[in-house]
Amino acid sequence: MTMTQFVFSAGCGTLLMAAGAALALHGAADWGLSLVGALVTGVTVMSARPAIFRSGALTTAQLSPAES
Amino acid sequence: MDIVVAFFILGALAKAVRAEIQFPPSLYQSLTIFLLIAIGLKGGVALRDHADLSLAPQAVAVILLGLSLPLIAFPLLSRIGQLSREDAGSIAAHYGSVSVGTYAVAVAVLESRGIAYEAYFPLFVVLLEMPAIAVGLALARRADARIDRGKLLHEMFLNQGVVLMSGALFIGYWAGPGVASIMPLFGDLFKGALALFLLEMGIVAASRLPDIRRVAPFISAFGVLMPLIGATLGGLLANALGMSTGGVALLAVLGGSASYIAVPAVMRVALPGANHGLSIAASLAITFPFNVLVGIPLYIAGAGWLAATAG
Repeated sequence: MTMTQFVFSAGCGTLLMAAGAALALHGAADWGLSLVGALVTGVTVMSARPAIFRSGALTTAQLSPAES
Repeated sequence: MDIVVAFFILGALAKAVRAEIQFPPSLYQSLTIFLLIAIGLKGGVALRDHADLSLAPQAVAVILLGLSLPLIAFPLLSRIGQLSREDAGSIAAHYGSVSVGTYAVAVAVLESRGIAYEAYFPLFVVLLEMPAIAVGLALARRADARIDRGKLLHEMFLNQGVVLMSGALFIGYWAGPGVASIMPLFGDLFKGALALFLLEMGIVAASRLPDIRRVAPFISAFGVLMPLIGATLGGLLANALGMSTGGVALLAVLGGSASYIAVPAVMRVALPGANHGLSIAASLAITFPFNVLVGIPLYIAGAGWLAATAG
């Protein structure tokens, strides 16, 4: 996974969580969208986890050796 | 949650706990044929009452929607997803085309909630099948002389979905009230057949999840984001065209759905080097469940909000 993909996927997940929560709190929808956002964010972070644990921080090089 | 959606969850859960539910392959095929004919017939009868020039601008707008969706999907797939041109073009075509199964669920939900919609919508389902395929192939830029163009055109225009739905649309249009004699099968049993279809789809969707493991974070985000983009464009377009609340929700569903029957068949012929497992897994294991469980209620709520805002 490249840094761009990490930012895209985690960003999408976080945005969906926030949008879903806003809709649910206004009674416009249920919590389904927030749950999906949490799943996307969770899958993204879990996939990047080895890189995070190795260094304590994400870098492009650790996420995608091919780009470094 | 609509009762038919519960069967989708049952199928997915059964697969997750490795329960043995075996659908004969011919039954799944039969249910698909049933749904295509049932939807087409109903649309044909409705088209008989609405077939006039006012439909032309709507039809053109719907085709333009089908052309534009792959153009949005392709850069996301190739630049951010870093997929090859072939894979990006193939997946973009899947997401620009439509899912009849998702449409059937949306119709069932609208009818159970008593929300009116333009009953000639199956015409738009047929119209949305093909433009995305052409754009997806153009984006993939494959001018490979080895491709059998006759077979490609055959798959594009004479695939099961297009032939059965447009054929049933024509028969419904031609027969009008005469379809009443076969509606006990294609009308009254529609939701029951849809429940069986969704049970099988739940099993299939859950079994496809391992296929996306390699690109899970990106594809899972794309498989959720792209339907939301397509649904927003479809909903806004339907609202601009002055459609009813149900019509706005249905065009959002069509914009947000991804093909898993017609487009894969065409792409296997046109782009033999593409990773077809990836595109089918994305549309079946992520986008279809997302639309059925979360998207459709969301699109209907959005259509209601648009109607309330306009009113």
